[in-house]
Amino acid sequence: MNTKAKKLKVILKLHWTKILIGVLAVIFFAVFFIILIVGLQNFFSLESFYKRQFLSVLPFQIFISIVTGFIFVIFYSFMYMWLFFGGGFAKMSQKKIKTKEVDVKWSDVIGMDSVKVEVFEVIKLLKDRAQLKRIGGKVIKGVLMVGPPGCGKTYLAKAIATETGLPFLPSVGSEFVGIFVGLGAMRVKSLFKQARALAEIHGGCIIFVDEIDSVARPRVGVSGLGGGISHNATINQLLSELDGLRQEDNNIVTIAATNVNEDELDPALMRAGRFDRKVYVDYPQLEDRKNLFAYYLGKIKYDSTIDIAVLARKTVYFSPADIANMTREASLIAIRNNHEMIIMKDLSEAYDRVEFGFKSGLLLSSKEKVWVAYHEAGHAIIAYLLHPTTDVVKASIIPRKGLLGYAHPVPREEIHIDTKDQLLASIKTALASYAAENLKFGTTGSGVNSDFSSALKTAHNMVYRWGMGKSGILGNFYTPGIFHPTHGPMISEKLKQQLDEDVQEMLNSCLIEVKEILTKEKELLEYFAQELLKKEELEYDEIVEIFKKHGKERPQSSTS
Amino acid sequence: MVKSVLKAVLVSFFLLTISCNIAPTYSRQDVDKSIKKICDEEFNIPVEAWLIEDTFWVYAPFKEVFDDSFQWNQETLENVRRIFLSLSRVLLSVDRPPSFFAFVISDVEKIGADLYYIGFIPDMVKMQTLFISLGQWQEREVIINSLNPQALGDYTGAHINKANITMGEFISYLINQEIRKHFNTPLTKDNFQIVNLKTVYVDTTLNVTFNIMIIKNDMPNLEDPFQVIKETTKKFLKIYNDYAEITEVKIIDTAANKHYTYSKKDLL
Repeated sequence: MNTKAKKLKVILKLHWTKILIGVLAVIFFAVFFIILIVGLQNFFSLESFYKRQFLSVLPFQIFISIVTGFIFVIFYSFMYMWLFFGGGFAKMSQKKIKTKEVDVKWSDVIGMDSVKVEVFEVIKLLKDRAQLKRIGGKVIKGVLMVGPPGCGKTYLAKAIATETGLPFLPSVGSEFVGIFVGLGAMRVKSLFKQARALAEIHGGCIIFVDEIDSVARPRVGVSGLGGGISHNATINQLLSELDGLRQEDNNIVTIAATNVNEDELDPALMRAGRFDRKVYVDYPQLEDRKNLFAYYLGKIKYDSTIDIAVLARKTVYFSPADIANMTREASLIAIRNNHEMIIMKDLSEAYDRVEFGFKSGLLLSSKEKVWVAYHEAGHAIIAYLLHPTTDVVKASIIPRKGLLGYAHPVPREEIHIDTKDQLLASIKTALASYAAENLKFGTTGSGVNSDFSSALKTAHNMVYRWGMGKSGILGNFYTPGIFHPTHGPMISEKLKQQLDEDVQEMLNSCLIEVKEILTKEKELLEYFAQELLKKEELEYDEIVEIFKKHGKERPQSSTS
Repeated sequence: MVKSVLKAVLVSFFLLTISCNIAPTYSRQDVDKSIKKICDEEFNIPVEAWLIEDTFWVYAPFKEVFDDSFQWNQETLENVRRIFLSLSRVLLSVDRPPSFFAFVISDVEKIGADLYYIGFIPDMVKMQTLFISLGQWQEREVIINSLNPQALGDYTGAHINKANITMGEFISYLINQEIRKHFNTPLTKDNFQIVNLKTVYVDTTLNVTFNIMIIKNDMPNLEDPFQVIKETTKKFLKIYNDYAEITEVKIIDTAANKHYTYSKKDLL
């Protein structure tokens, strides 16, 4: 190959795109000029009328083209600005809520006094920023509210908005999850941009992100197909915005709420400077529940003989939402029953609805009803006589929510530490149904399924995790690395056998004790079961009355 | 924005100036030659043409206009369309265009028949510029057909009485055509019979003489022929009010022996 050919080859290799574009441009212009010349030739060959006709409409066509062009340019510019600078699709679902619209007063927040104390400090700081600046402090930038659902996290956020009088930007974590990669990040950016603008005008702004866990789970490794990019981008943007706020100090507080444990959120989100304050909004305590009942019942007409303390004791682990729901249901039941005001029976029925659901249409045969009555009587008697911390607040043989009947145990108060006695009492209460059936009918039925599950689980945990077995083997064998549910326990077979023997020994000794008690209290068992068959449902007072009639008192009763 | 609008206005003004200065393609003097040339050179169709005062006559002889089932011969029909196209091209682009055209198609070999199309040229312009619809144009076009043995063998148009058409005459043709059409629809033809209908324009007076019999009276609100004639006359006088010199309209019902005379003002 000679030098010229080589040169040409190199030039082609280096500049092929330019050459291609050049050739295409030449072709385009050649075609354009040919079309233009042919068009002009045709125009000049037209008769005068057609020439005039063509030229007379041309100004109008030019005018329309210019107007259309302008409209397009304006529309395109607007769309471009909206998409890339104004938030675009991200802004579509956002709305600012005026504090007047929220209208949840601080006094309306009931049953979370300790939480209120913590949050009130944030409100004070937001309201009196000048004082804080004088001292040289920094506004708390983020509040993370953690707790079970229905405990009033959102309600609390609304109250903060009302109390501070600042604009409130509510959002839900799932809103930041979009089908397009980057849309979530854009939405976060847009939300904070709006908040900054509002803070400029109103002197502050509150962003509320409900269910933040849907967006704030720990960042993940990006898979080969790009999975995780969007999630990571969204959380990175969130972190950046929270940090950005801190530098600018523009009086914006981000309140986030979640049902999951904070350990399940991205660790970077939890560090100081982002969510500075963590508020645990848990189930209301006894006093809180009393306040809640007083508050909700105060809004409706109710029988003054209703003992709110009894209601509060009965509703351990009820969230404020459950309590609100219970009073609402009670008012509906009262209307249906033509009561002028809510009575205790309405509240009790409402409690059942909230706790167990509606009565099912399942019809039991008389034989099955007898069976269920003795089964539940067994539970109730053992719980009453042996359990130190649990009351049976209701016994029923009306099927509800998949249950044929129930003896509903309720802890007298929130239990944070279970003692061995309490746990054994729970096992005995669970096994009492089996013992009662055996005692009455000489055989047992499949109804003990969930009771056995409960007893076995408790006994297993006591032996495997809490060192409560008879053989005295110590250790929590559920500690990661020791016991693995799929790979098998990383303990010796011998030890495992010993632990399993301990579990069975515990269950059997409990069963023996239960059998002895029920045999001794056979008359009580008969009476309880017959009362249950007669009334189908026994309330707490009726249950207590039965035991009193038989001269039985609770060992460590604190409920009466 | 202001600059662009200014530019657009300037360009529009420039184009309008150009369009005003475009010279007519054909001259009135040579209008007959122009159409003959187009038909001959572009379509190879021999036609004859004459400009008689303000009416442009075109004569097109064909060996066969209608076939045995009285349907248009397709080749002839296509050629008629081409002549119409040429006619409009010439008449729309001529200086001082005539007022009327009369296009005569004659069957000169088979049966001997004449078919006249008479139209007002400003209407043709209006149709081309979409000021009137095709339907309105067809309403304003006079079509007269008749068997005529004199047409046989006439390739030059000698048997055609070529005369100037006035607006009064044109309106009288239109009224006559419209009334005949009206009483010949499927809804009306069983109830009415046109015994006599004449429309004549003489000395600024339009005379409509009629004898329309009601042969069946089985329809509710059966139309009064006199009212139909009056309304049709009124309609065309309104359309051509700017052109016609008609001052009086006489409607004569020969069956009832009644005469009605209206001034133009009365009818408008």
